[in-house]
Amino acid sequence: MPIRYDKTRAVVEGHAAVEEAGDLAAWLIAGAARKVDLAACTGMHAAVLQCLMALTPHVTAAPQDETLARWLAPVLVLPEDPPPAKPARRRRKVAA
Amino acid sequence: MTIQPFGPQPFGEHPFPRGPAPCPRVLVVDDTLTVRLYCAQLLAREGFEVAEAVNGVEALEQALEQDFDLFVVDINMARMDGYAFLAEVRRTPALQAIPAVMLSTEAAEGDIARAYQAGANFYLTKPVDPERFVATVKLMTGVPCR
Amino acid sequence: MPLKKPAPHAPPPAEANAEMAQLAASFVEESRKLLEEAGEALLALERDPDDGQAMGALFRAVHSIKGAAGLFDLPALVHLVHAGEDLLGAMREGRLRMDSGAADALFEGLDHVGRWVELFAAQGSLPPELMETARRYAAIYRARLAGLEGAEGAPAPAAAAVRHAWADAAGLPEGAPLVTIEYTPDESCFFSGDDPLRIAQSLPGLVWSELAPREPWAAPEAFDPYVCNLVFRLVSEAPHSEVEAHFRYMPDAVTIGLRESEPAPDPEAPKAPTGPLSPLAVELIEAQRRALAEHPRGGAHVAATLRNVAAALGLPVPPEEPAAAIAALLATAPPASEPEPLAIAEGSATRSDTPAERTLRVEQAKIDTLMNLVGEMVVAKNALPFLARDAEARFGSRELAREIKDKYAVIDRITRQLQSAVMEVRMMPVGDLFKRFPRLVRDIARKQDKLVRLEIEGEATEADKNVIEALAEPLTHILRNSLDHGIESREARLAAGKPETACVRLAAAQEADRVVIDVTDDGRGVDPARVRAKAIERGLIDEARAAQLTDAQAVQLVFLPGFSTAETVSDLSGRGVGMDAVRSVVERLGGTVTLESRCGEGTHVRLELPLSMAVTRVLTIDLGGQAYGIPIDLVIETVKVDPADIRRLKSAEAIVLRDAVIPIARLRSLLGMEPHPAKLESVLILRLGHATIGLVIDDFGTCMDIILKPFAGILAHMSGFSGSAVLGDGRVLLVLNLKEML
Repeated sequence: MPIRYDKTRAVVEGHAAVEEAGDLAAWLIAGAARKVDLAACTGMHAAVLQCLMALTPHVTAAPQDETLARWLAPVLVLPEDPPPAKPARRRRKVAA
Repeated sequence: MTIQPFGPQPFGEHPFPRGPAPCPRVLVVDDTLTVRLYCAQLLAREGFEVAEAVNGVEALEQALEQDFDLFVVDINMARMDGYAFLAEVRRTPALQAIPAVMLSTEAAEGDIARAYQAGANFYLTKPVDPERFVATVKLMTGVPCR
Repeated sequence: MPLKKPAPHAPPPAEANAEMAQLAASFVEESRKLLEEAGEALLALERDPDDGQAMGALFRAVHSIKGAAGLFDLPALVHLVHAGEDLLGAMREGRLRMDSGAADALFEGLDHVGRWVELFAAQGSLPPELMETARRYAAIYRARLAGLEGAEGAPAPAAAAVRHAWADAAGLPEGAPLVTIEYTPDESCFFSGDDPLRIAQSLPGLVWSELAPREPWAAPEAFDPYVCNLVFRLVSEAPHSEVEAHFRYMPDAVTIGLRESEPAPDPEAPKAPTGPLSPLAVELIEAQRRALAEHPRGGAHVAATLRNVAAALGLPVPPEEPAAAIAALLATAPPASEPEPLAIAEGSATRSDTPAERTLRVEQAKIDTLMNLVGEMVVAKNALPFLARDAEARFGSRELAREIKDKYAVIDRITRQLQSAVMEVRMMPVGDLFKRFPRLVRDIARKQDKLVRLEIEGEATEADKNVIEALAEPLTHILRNSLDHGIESREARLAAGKPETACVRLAAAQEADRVVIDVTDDGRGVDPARVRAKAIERGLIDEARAAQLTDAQAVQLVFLPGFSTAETVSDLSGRGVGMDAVRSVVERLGGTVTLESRCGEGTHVRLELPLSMAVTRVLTIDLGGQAYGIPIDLVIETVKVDPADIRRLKSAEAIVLRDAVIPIARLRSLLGMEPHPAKLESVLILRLGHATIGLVIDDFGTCMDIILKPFAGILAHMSGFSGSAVLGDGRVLLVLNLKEML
């Protein structure tokens, strides 16, 4: 169960697959102040990413997975105190 | 100096006495009516006199009959294409000094190289950016332009 | 239909709109013409893939459409046409061969473009979802190109030309060439199992990425998580081919470009001034270096260009020697004073006149109005003979009557000239109609796996626009019948000792004041036995009568309403319209249709039509005090006959006229009226098809021109009449349809 829904918070763990997108979108639309915790998220399907981009829930924790965080940083508003060892957030990344 | 956008200028106040012909004549050579019409509209709006030809042969005929200050030439045309037209122009003493800009959808380096080989002075790609097009024509005909 | 960018110094909106509308109209009209040319060239290529001239024409047509479409906001159209052009370019250069598969795909693409142009003409824009279709065809064309590249290992020329503007702003490292990718996954890609994010993340050599919504996000309630709305901009340092391989399953969703490192600056070139010289001016001056390199000895055009650029920028006249001039221009600091404001330049030059048109293009509605007015004039003119008669009969002034008749003659002559002048304008060559048939024949033949050659003759024959237009459907139907039922399968033809390729001939010619169109095929012909059987089965004729018919007469049964020889309903023969529909259209136009067939050898359908149909000349007749009209072209002569000279043969009647026996009919009995004995019978000798027949009426009237109006509404199906006309004195004249009656 990659997404666990609390009262006002969805906790995404592991890889969120395409099937999750429908539920997540419905849940996010149903309440205005709903939040998402991505700390334990290691990857997500593009459809899930779309939900986050389109419905702009407050993200309480950025993914600890560095690669994923780098992809998400430009398009989502991630919390200021990120997981450790995350490189400076920039709109663009230039890998080595 | 008062600016009179239209109508005759008072004689003594002619804005650019040292400029070339006050009303440059441009020949647009393109087999696509819509493109000719578009170029003609843009240039007529800026006060240019515009003539049109649908291929190189027709363009040569007109060029030999009338004075032009610039050729705007497409590449792909039936009968005589833009390259052949320009090559002919550069071979013809009466025409060889007339600047020419090539206007084409081809953006490959090979096409551009061929254009300069044939005798183009400049190369613009379609779709035409109107501002760039008008500014180019002004520069190439000596019409004051920033 | 906005232009991509607002034009500089845009004129007032009204003027701009008018210019825009003119441009759009020109684009639509020109594209129609180009599409037609492209279609013809494609047909020619299909017959002969080595026809270089057709290849050139096709490429140019497609290229021109692309060039013109680029002026408008028509991304789907441009996308499709562009891909088509790439494919055709490869074919033109001989890297790829035209085959029937490619021709099919190109035909379909052209059809789409044609529809889109019409849509654009009607609405001024295209719905964005058309991009799907455009991508589909682009993929088909690219797949053919890709097949070619796979075989030859050549790099994709189209891809190399792509340049992503965003890459310039991305702050990428200089030096090594980088591959730029714009990846726009298909909206429905989630349903085919794609995860675009994973595809993007796993791109080899990825050095930079950007992710954005393709369209602004919908409101939360309208948001559909399963419609992909993402676009990925990616930069890779992997080789082009590797990147291409990564996206090989979605070639249409990506554009791949090369970001080459800036060319090393020419060490000898003086540094371009960073002053007010515009980048364009610098570019233009730099370009002269290149132009000069190609023409080291000539260069007069280079010198002239440099002089003009200097004048435009208000710089001093540069040296005559071009190389020195380039250096001088790039080195010279621009004058301290501000350049002349543009407005002055505008004012100095006179506005040019719009280029003169050699021909005058007129909307058809205007010609129609003119035609209607001429028609009314004809009718008004017809009132004059009545007026002359009144002058004489009621007011006793023979002189006035003669004068009116004289004036009538003058007006009559002018009206006729006017009429023929307008007719002339309305004439169009049948070629305009025939043009569509090669495609039709090709498509049907391919569907049925038959080989058919269509020969067209007499395209230049002209007829009235209405006639031509009304003929489209009947001719289509005749050709379809011919291909569906006439032409045998290839095996059957070979078995019958015929050439495998069938021949259908479509020929037009003018004969006197009529157009004759012949459609001939060398198929199996119409089987009289089968026609008889079918007619009996359908209850159209009884067995005894069928047996009496000659074979030639029997095949005419196909024209009966309710008859259809189609054994199976194919999607080709259309909605079950039979030859009866053909006949009724042709006859409504005042024409005739005949069918001849030789079983096993072929069928010949002949349509004969008047050149024009706007005005009909009729002979009026009197019957029980009511005036009727009979088309004058049916009337051979009028005779008065002593009733005693009418011979009775069994129940039929006939007269002998110059040794010919002519059967007669009595209009009164045909219309169910009481007989009306007369001292001398008035008989009209008529030609109906190939038969001559006499028609007994009460009295002859006069000849007159009428505008025949077919019956509308509930009267439309009234048999026996082809329409009505209003006479000069206000009476209504019913025009008889004798072909139906006799």
